Amino acid sequence: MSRKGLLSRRMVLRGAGGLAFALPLLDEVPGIPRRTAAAAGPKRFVVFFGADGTVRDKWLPTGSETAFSLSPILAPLEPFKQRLVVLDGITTMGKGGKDNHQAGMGGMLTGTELNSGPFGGGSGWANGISVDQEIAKHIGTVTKFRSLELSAYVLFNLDNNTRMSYLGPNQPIAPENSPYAAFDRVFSRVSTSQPMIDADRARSQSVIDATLADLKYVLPRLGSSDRVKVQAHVDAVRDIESRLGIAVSAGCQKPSAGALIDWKKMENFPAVCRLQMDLAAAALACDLTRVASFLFSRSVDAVRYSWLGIPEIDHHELSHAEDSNAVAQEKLVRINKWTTEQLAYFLGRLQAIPEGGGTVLDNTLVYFCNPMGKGKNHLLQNTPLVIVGNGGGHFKTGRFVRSPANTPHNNVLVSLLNAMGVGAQTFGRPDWCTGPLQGL
Amino acid sequence: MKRFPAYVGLLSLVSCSGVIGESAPVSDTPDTPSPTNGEAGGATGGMPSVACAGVSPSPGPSPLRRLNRREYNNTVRDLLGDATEPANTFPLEERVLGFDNNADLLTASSALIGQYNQAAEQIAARAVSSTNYASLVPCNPVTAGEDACARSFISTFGRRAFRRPMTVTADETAPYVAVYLKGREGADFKSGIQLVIRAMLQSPKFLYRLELSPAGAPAEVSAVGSFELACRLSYFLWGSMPDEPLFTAAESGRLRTKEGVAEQARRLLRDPRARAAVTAFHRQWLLIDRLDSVGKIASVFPGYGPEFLPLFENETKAFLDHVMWSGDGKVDTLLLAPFTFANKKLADFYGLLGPAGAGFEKVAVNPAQRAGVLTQGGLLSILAKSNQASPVRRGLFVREQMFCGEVPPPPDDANVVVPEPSKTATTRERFAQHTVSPACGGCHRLLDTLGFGFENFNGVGQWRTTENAKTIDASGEVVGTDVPGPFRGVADLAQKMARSSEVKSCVLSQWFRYAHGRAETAADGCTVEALRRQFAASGYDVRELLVALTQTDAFLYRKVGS
Repeated sequence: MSRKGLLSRRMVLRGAGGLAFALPLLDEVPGIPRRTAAAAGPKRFVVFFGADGTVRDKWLPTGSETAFSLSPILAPLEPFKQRLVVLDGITTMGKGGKDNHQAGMGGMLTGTELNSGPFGGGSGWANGISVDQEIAKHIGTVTKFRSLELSAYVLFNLDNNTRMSYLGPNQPIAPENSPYAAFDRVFSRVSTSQPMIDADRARSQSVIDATLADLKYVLPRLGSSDRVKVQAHVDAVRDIESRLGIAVSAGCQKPSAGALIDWKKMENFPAVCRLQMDLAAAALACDLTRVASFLFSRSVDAVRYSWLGIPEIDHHELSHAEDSNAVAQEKLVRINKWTTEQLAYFLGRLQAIPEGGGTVLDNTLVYFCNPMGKGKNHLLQNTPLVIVGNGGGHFKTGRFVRSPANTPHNNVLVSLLNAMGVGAQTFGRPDWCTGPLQGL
Repeated sequence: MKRFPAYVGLLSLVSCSGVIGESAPVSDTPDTPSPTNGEAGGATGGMPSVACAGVSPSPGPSPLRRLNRREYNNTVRDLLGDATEPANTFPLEERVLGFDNNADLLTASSALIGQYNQAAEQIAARAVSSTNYASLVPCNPVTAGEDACARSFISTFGRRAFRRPMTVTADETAPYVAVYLKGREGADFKSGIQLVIRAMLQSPKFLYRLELSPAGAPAEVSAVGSFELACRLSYFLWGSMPDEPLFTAAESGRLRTKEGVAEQARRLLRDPRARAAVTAFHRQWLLIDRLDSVGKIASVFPGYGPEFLPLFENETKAFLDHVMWSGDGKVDTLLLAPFTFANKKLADFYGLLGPAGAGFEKVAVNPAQRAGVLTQGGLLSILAKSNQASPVRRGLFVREQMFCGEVPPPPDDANVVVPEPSKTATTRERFAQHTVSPACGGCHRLLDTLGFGFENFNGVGQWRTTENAKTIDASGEVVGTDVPGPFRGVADLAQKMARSSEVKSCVLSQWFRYAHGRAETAADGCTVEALRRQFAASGYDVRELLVALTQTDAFLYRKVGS
């Protein structure tokens, strides 16, 4: 098989300005066996974050449960309308922090309150595992990586407004903001020959053996609180060790990262978002992981969306504008719509990758969430939530589902777990949950 | 589930006048909010005054510290001569009280461990193919025998990588002999060495600053061991591993006396690595590391462009370097210096006379207008919006970073919209709403009255006497501190701050937090007391404070077995 021939069969997913990772087409590389999983395709779960609430009357669909029109903010999802479940009436449950930015962020995926700690209002980390990690516990054991957490402008004031995924109480997962670092890590073992993979695995195992021996030496010699910290290290090393034997699909080619850009520059935010989405799409398609989350900005979004003609003020500050300030509200709609466009871009990426008789998108459930409903007064009510995908027939999609006012979002989290095959009846704080969301 | 020590009570939490939302008096009575520690003057930064002489050492907690990205980069550089800064792409550290080295938050995650592996692999590959390789391996594998040479390498390199000798009894070297053999298998000696380096860089002994106790040791206070103390010194003052003289001092017992520790501290401070560590502190304390996020609307600030951001950064760095390493190192000078550093482009931008070229020079400023760090372009750009100055941010900076006060956030239902720029009003007039509004005035009086003193500077640090053809009013008032009263302009405010023992105390607190990777606790009372005394005795020379910080209970002792 000539290299030229292989390259010519690559499907290259182009992003804006040629920055995208080039993604190989997995199932059409001649001479290489198809992935066994490709027949049906594994179930995958993705979290997509939106910041600082929304503009409700420009977000809310109009019409009935099954015959509805998408709002201006959700309009970019029109091509995927039959895959959507748009939720209304849900309240983000959260508690603690100096304001609901923190409370909502802590609760968004965990359904728990913030513990006390060193951040604003004397708050610390959330008190439970997040839904993506709970799902990863079940579906993330057979892949090279348990999950991917990716960000695009989470660079300053790093506190509990900048973490949404948790391995457990007080165990936040820091997102990777450098697409290049994430790329190197995720694709480093891809595209090597079998003897090299075997030798590499043996060397990696011996390194891990030494690390674990040292950890074992260290642990009993530490005080109890330090031991908790090092135990988390042990768990992470063991997690990596448990995945050493997992073979990367032979059909998975290492994508190329394109021209280097400065990922710390705010004006490169759109490009970094795309790189992270392309990276995740490739990793999901290659079955390197089945769980991913995008925390592009943060609760209290400091990004100034200059490429939308809004260079003068950041998103968070704008979100505090009066309802009567039509100019500001229009700008907020623009920002929110842009975020939806990013989701549409990502869905399009997944839809472009064939898998089995369909596409990767068919096997992916995406949760588009937000820590709060309205930025201006930090309202947790009516949080804008959209589920994309039916979870293998679990949800009836193409629907706009209105729940009774103040339905706790923990119920949505339970439904997501159920859709991903996790048979839970409650999630997060039990007193914030009444079971799976009704009407799904 | 509570994992964090209670920090917040230690800050002087300035209470706003009255309950937010209630009608609060604005200016009639001196409803001076007082620091919650209740101590007049609050000069200990929240510490109660305690009798400390002759008391047995009380070190406060010393939580395990993982190397942060800066420390990892520096350590790899000093260990292997690898200056590629491989940690720059690791997940960013959370910030506590403004600093990126908080011990409680430097935990491990799968992604981080994965990146450690990735980085270690690349660093090890570079190490064995660099010219430095010969100096790493202390023997010739041909003449000494490969296995013997490998063992020799493991103990000599291991001592430096793990920053203490490897103990023979527990046979800490055995896992690395196994690693060597695996790396050697089917390859060569060098491949074995390479794999040892890769493994050691992923060991907790490398990644953490371990201070171990014998398993099952009873809880007691004990002197920090010599090698651990060497690391405390080098990571505090260099943000890196000990050098050979420091290892030698540890080995020869010279760190067992306070004098021996001070001698090494002074030696470390003379090294360029100390400059970098002090710069890293200043970048965080003075928010300069946020310059990256600054964006300005060009039309609002004629003559300004993003090319000024690196000039601002240079200005503040050159100024601080000068004060700290060529000047008198004093807090007063940081606040009051009648000079700054600029090249021609920046001097022209500020309207200063002097420099002719692209190089930065010391430049005199009009002491009635500018003073020390508070009037430098970088800070003033950070403390502003993209299209206007911000009295709120300026006030918050002074209140939080310089007085170590904490201001409650606006309530969830507050109208926190920033007044839009106007063609007819001054910034002050537009922001006056805050202090007039009963709902906002209670807190904003604590911020805006400080921030209004900066009105003579626009959002990129240029001097102005009018705004929209109206004369600037830069009068302000300091409330809720030990230097209350009215002032006019930043230079005047800086004079007040230089007289404030709360500001001195705050500088001390900031350095304590940076040095220890944690906030002060009640158990640190005597440590802070001693520091305050020595800081005052030096005339508030920060360099002396850095040495003094190595002489305290918190630095020299630790609780074991707890």
